[in-house]
Amino acid sequence: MATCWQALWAYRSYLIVLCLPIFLLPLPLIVQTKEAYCAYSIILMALLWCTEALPLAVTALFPIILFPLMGIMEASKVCLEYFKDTNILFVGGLMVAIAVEHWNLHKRIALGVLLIIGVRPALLLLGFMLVTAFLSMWISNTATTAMMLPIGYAVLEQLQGSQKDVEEGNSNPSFELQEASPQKEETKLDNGQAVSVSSEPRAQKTKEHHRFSQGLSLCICYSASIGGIATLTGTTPNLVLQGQVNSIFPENSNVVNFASWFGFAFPTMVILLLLAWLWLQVLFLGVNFRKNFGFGEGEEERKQAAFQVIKTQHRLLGPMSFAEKAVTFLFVLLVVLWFTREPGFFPGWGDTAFANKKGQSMVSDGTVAIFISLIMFIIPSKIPGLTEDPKKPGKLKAPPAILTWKTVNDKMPWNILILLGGGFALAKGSEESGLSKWLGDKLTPLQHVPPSATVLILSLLVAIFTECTSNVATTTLFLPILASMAQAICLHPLYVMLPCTLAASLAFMLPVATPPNAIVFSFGGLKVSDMARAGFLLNIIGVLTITLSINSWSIPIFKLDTFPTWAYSNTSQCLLNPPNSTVPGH
Amino acid sequence: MAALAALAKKVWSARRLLVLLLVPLALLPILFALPPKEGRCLYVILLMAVYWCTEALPLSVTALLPIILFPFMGILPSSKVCPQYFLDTNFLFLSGLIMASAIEEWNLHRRIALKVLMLVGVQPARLILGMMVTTSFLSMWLSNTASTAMMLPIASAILKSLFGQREARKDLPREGDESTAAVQGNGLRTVPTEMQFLASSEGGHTEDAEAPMELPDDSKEEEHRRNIWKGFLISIPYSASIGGTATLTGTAPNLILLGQLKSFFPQCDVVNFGSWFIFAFPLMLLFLLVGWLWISFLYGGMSWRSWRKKKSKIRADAEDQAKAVIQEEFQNLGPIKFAEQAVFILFCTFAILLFSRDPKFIPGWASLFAPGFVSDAVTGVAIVTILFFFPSQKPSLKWWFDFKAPNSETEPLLSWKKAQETVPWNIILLLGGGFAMAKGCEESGLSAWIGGQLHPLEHVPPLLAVLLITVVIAFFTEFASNTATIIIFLPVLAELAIRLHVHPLYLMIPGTVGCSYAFMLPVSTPPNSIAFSTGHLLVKDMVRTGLLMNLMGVLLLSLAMNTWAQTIFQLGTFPDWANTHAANATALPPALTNNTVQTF
Repeated sequence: MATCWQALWAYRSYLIVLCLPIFLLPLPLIVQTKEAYCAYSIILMALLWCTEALPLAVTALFPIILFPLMGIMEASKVCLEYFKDTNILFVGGLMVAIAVEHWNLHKRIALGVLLIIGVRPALLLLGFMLVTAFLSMWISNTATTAMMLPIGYAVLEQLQGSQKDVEEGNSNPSFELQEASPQKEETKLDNGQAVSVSSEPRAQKTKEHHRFSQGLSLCICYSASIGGIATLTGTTPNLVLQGQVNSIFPENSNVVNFASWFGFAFPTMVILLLLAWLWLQVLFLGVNFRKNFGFGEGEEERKQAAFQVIKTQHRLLGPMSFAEKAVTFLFVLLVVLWFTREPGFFPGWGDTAFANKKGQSMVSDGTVAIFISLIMFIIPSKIPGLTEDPKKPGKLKAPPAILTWKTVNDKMPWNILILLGGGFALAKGSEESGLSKWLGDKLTPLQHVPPSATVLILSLLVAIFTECTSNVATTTLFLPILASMAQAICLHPLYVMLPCTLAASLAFMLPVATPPNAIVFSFGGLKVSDMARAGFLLNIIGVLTITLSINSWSIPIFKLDTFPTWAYSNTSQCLLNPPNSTVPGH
Repeated sequence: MAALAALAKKVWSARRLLVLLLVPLALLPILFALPPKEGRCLYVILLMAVYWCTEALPLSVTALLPIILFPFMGILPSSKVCPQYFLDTNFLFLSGLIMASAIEEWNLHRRIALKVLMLVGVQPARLILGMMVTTSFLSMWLSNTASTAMMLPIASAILKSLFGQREARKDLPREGDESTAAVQGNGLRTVPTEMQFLASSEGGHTEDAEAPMELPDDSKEEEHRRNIWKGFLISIPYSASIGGTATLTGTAPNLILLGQLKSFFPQCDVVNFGSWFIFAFPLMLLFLLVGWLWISFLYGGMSWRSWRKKKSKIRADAEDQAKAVIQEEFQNLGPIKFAEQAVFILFCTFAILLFSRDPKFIPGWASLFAPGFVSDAVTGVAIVTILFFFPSQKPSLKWWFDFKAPNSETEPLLSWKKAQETVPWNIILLLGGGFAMAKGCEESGLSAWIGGQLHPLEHVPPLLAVLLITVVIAFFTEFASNTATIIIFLPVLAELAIRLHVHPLYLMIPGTVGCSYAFMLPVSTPPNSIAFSTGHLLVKDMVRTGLLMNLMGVLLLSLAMNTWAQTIFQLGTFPDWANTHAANATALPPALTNNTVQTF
């Protein structure tokens, strides 16, 4: 009997793909309207995404099949949704990230910062978190985690080895040489103490070390997720928001761009990172702050040993190559151009040099990203460039460019590109079929709930949902509904969409929640309960931090205190009674 | 003198960088010589054209230039440029590519090829015909490159068995070359560069040096063997290029035509998978037959004379060996698997649904749905989705009740990881770049400006215009990528057609098919360079054979355009959907639209 269930489990992907469309059939058959047809498509895709019965990108292709067959949208219109301005921003940003990875620039940055911060337990934790968060702002969360984890484990191994030396009273000759003669006397005293004490302290130290290694592992994957929210290209849900806002509200004058997003999300990230650090410190290092910050006997040797590990790794990288310098320069240039294109509080270079008739920028963040990527295909990776071809003596050969197409083709996650497009197609279909309007009408009663409470509840809901589903799929499913709801209750759409987008990235409790968690989990040493316990409170902290930011500095950035003209729709009641304020004031 | 030579070498090595930096400067005068918007757009197009022709940047990276330059120059906002990269034409192409990777994954193409070869026999002329038919059929559905890469090893194996040990010693040094060709084919991303061309040329010279040493020994027989080798090797890339023209998804230029038609003439729905096939397939068959005759005459003539004398016993034995080789290869594939059957059925369904959606002469299945909603892309993506969940092993009822059988999850026909690796994503971006460029032409008014410049051509008879256009494009494509060629020419042809008051398809279709006729140089198209890299062919062999192939192609294309294409696309009248564009571009008397093409 048990075997039968195992058989069913083995075939579950096929069964889900075949049965789901049939089980959901009553919906379009009973309610024969366009709204129901669209709802059928969305629910089908939502369930396929949650169960991952098909690759996520393949499920994302369903609108191309279902919308034309059901008479919702023409095929030619559906396909356009798959490659919008936002998708190009994604491609361009990733090309730059691939260049950074390809030339190991991210590793150099990581080791450099760790050398500066030092290796006391609490500071070590902070160092790893800062570095990981910073890198994952620009590189994918997954790549950042995969790079930082080996470094973390190397440091941990060295710390454990050094601790054993201290316990056994066998000082390394190198340390003896470095220390003055008075240290020897202290060592002898330590020897005496160590010998006289029973094995209990040793077991306790081993346990402490185990806890520390767990903490270090978790802080890496958590800070990768936290860091990813700070920039528009840091994680895909952020781009989903931008694409959906531009799709659902075409008249908005590019409210969400790289600069405005950063102004909103970066402070949020810093606060959340700090709180996460404190929480992980308490959880895995204990409340003895004096000890955590490195005051005490016997820590000096451990500190130097760990420092040496990082220093050795840094030296192994060798001097900075021309390619690394070029990538660094282009990377900084990219960020500067993004920030200064259309800052909002003063005219940027996009507004002045490349404006259209309405005074808006013809150039987008995607244009900038592709521009920088293009330069990377042009600049050679060595100077002077000409060298002899090893295979054919006497024949000169130019060095390859910093980026080659083969590198990009192999590393670019084309499936996410399609997944991104599928989300936009879904949103467009909702709008065209009238499903969005129908949902908006159904959600009108929420008008009586205070907006800040609405945001808090929705953020919690999204944070929980995203634990079980891909972050991108979560955002894709929720944002169109939130947009309709906001219109229905006369709320600024970004007031509910922004918090939920950030909340979708708060996936801390389960290994399957997001790839960085899965990578850390697969290294061993962690149980699901460890991650769930640490992550639960972190989710709460995250939601509260987001609520704080949306009700404070976000208001002037996005003008959340008024209902914007670009969000008016024909059926909106806001036309009749435009409110002065939608946010509770003092 | 030595210093000059060294300097020349250095300049040559850095030529890619020099082209990248100097061309934008050299083209600057265009910005000032033309009206502002038109000039800027022309600047971008010429810049891209030069980059594509010289391949200073990867083709697909050049295709991304409109995303940078159009917004900067005020031609199109970024939000309008980007969607051009994923029209539903791109999805039709993507689904075709994914279907092709499923076929390759399960070696279905190899089984089909060997089966056909077993049927046609192993006499040289018949063998060439078998190879050509098989290759062209496969390249209708797979990429031309993959078809060529798969057929070459089979051809080499057969030829070795035909000519026995005497060729063995000579062939050993070239094993590496054939491996290289196979690797290139597997990669599916290799685009020939001038470096490869130079390397191949040197390889050719090596063979030249070897040839005289063999001459004293039975020179007649030696020449015969060499000709057979060349005939075989040259027929494969040629039939791959010819076969690719028969279906809409067979080669990228065909899809470029479809995408640009939708861009210039949104009301036009004449070209779809079914109607294109009806036009192009007969043309392909005709060209294949004529090509076979020409290659057999050129390289198999000795066989004819030898046959009249008497067939030697040795040759008969060789042919038996060749037949044995083919059968052995077929046996090695083993019995047909469930996965192969599944892919085959899905492939047939794919083709049938594409044909029957909207054939034009009878209502297709698309008429069951809302008009204008369903396109070929819907069909393609639907079938391809099935590949990702259909099991690759036969589901067994017994398995459910056998408690000792392993409970492992079965694999689908295709995984995303596999699709990611084999699909050439750069070509999709290249397609998009072409569409973006066309959009920029239209929005900036460059198309209308070019049309004005072409005013003097109004007096040229349409029949002659088609011939001239096809010849120009067929030879231009020898030096540039087929896709890049058609991207550059199509907007001009569309505008020219309106000026001549000719049905736009009358000029655009010959241009599209003509740019797939790249037979003369190894760099013309990847199949040519793969065949060339085997080392048995010289550039002059390809040029000599290809020149007449080009001319015959042009003539057959003209024949097709003036016969059955007239009926399929109603080329005898100036269509309403072109009138709209014409009215916008210029104000012309409507009376002139009554008669646009002289029919005999």
